[in-house]
Amino acid sequence: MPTQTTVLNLYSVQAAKATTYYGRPATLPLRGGAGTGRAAAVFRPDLSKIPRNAIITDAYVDIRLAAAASGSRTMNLQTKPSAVSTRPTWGNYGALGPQVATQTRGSLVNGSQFKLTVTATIQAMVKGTQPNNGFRLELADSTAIKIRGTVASGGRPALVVAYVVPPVAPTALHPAGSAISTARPTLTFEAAADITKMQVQIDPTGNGAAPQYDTGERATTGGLLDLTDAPYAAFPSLAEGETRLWRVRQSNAAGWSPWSGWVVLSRVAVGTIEITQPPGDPDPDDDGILTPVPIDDGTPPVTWTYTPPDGATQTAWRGRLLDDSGNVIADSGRTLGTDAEWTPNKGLTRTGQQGTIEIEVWDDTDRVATPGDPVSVIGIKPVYLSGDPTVDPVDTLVGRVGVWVPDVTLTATRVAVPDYLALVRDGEEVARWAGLDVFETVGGIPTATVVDPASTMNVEHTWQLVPIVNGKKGVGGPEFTATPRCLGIWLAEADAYFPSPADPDAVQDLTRRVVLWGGDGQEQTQPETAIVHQPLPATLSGAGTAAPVVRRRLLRSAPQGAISGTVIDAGGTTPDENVPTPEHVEALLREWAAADSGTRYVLTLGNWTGEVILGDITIVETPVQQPERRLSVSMNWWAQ
Amino acid sequence: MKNLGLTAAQNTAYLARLFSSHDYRIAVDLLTLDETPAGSLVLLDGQINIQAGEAVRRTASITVSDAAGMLDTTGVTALEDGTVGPSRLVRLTHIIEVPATQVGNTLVGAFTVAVPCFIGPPSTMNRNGAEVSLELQDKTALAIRGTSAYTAAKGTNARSAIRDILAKKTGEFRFNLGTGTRRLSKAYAVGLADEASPWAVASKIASAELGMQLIYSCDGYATLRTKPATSQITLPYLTAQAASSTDFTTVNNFVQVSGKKTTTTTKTASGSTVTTTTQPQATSQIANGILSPAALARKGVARLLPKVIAEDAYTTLAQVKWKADLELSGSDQFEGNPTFASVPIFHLDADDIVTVLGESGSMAVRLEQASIPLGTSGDMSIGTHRWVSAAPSRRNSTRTLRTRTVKRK
Repeated sequence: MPTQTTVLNLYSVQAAKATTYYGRPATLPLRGGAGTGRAAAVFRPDLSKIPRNAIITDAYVDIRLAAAASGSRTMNLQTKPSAVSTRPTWGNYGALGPQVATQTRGSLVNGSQFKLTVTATIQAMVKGTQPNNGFRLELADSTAIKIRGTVASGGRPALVVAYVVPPVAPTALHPAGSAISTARPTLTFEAAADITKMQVQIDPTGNGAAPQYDTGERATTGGLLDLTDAPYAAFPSLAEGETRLWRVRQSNAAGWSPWSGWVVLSRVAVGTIEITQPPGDPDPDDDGILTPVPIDDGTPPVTWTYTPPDGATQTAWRGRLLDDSGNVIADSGRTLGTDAEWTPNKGLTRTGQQGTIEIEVWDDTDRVATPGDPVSVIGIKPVYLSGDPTVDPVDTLVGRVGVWVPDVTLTATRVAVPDYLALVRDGEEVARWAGLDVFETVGGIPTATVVDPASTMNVEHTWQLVPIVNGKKGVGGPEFTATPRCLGIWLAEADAYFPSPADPDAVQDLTRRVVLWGGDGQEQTQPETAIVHQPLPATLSGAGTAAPVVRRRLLRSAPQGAISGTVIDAGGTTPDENVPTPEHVEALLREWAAADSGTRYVLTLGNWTGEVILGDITIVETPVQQPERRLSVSMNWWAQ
Repeated sequence: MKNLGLTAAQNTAYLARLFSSHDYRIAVDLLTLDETPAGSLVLLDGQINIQAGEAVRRTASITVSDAAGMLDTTGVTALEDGTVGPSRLVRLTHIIEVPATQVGNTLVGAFTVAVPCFIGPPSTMNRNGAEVSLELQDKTALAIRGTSAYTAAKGTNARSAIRDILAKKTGEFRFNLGTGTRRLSKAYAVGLADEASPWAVASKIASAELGMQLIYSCDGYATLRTKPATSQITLPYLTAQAASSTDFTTVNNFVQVSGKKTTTTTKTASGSTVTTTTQPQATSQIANGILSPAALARKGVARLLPKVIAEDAYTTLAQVKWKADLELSGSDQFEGNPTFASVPIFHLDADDIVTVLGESGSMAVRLEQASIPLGTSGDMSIGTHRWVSAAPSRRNSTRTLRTRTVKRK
């Protein structure tokens, strides 16, 4: 609510020298009664900055004493029927109008305030129904007092006016032109901060005199009207394809704003979407409670049928697969086109794991979103990874743990070669191969041999090889349990290490790795991320009691560290055929040192295995007796 | 201090959480100059520095992990959009979770508080291996250089003038200026000189026309506010006793100022030449207190700690007296700069008033400088400026030195 404080030009007029112009002194005498000792003050406030349509909520003249006085005093304020002279004196200040304010108060000290309320008078002057010819301030008592004047150092006389003005017409009406899909939409507009009421009219032709629907005056604190609310039950719902116009006005304590302009309100229903693949009805009882449907594969092909409203066509779509916590596993992004199928590039990995398939479709209708009414239509289908018992598991599974290398080699047999073979470690699918890539006939029996080079060392794991046939993933089958161990520090290019479940046709290349020997004291750190704040003892704290120690932990980075080791060429021999040769290691390390710094690697270091990036790769050749060569290698790594 | 938009009960729960054990995160976001996200960084360590009285009141030093070299300016840049440079801003956000808490009779549900505690452009970047150090300045740095001319006309609404200057000359779009009717009493012009920079002119309008401070609050909003006069927050405890330093050698108890010598020559009726030289001189001396000459006396011999000034710019007694008083009043008390250590708070601004509880009771401290650690390297330090000796009374004397030389004919 605006408040305007105007310092008053308070002219002193004194009967003792009726023709003397005293001007606007720092202190003025006031004295009533009779005789030549009388003194008063006149002023004409500047009201030009207050809008003519303002509603004055409070207005008062603020007068402060310039010296203490005994007893009590009564101060009166009268209007003037004619304008105050520019050089007012006792003799020329002219006639007086009615008294408009008075106040009596005691306990008068220097600075005491007289507050003369003139709300109605100022309202009339602002509105123009009463001329602003100024006021005369006088004392009813015959004992003089002194008040502070216009040029006083503080406590100057002032007119304080608090007022409100009617708001402007509402703006930013929404929706306005573009279609919505609901029959009873929510209308919004930019409302004044001090809005108290609103009124909305809706009419097919924009007839404000006899609108089809008028909300009447409704109390509100914001620019929102939900036509589904009970008070608006009489609103005739929008029919499909119907167009009407609507407008709104708002009010505050000062009154109503003008009406906004008419804007278009049109309804075009959205289409419907049905996810047809994977199959299954998640709500067979139509009770609104969805039950996950089984899927055989963690990355199931998804197809849908979109039925658009009349005259509309699908223009874009988006597919998402979310896990049971709502985290996005795969997201196609908003894709332009009329496609009706999508296969997630990542999927559910554990048998029994739940997730949700979400398909969102946009059509070519110009739409806007309103609360509860998005511009697209979304279809969802909860799923869980069941596996398919009709898919025969592998017949046999044999595992072998590498002694020198971090590899676990798994060999399985199956009468029929499956489309794909999934490597499941501890219940989670970590890799997938095309069946024809890994199956060979050995002794007349199709036999697959795959390698898991990325399990955590020194920890017991359980492996399965699960066939996938016609998009259906098997369940169960023989297991292999072991605790892998290896020697040395192993690094491999992550891209070549494993064919991921989403890219089973990728080729696994176990040659793109190196091993370092003999490194002592490998550093692996989790950067210090906590601090302890020790409050002062109670005797020093001033708080009276001792506060407990505070430990603040900064949640941030993954492990990082430095590794070093040697590459020894003792004549080209290696302890195991799977251990890369020193020449190969040196060549690969030099290649990595020059590679893009964002390349990811798999590091196997003690009982920690994970994806890292490398930096500061240093290769130093140490002179030793020929023909041996000895390379000292060091580098830093950061887990990703 | 930034209003976090919390209810009173939530605010109480939040502060209680800050001052008890908790986990926290610092999000380091890389933004375009239009403040849209362009990437994120992993903070290793850093701190925010606050210094009242400076144009750029809030700076930050951070070290981020850049193992992948995305900020590398020496070679290939993996993510161009993520590159730090003059076309980027860095935003730091302190995030903690506040569990469900009983505050009085109110049960406050669990909520997350994310305080944007810094936003501004980088001033320098240094790489050391995989660590990159960035020095940052708040958004004032975008407005303290001169720019093309713009004039806010006399009579313009003062707040609108501030908004227009910053919006039209720096592209700022985040404002918290409030509303008011005060209009400019004169025109204000932005120009190429740094003294006429958008920030300098907008600040001048704020102080001269509105009697307010213009600051960039910790969340990067150009904010008008009345300089805080009351305490806004009470630290429940300190983590170290207050530290302070005072220099006893830089004080004076006596100042003498001599002005310009003026020579006049006249001839007497007898033909003699009279040359008169006058020079105004004033002294100002501490009359009592621990720094007075008498209080520093040894064996009754008063000890002066004088400062002597001879300056031709002063030609009258009033001027030399004014100068003497001015010089003495600036050096007649011991100055202390106490600092207090606490668990960090992230939404403080320079000139906020913070109440600290010390051994001898509570003290309201105007926050003139602070360092707020972002990592786990130490306590928050807040500092202020205080006179630590009582203001003494002064004794002045003025005189005009005169010499008169007569050459007889």
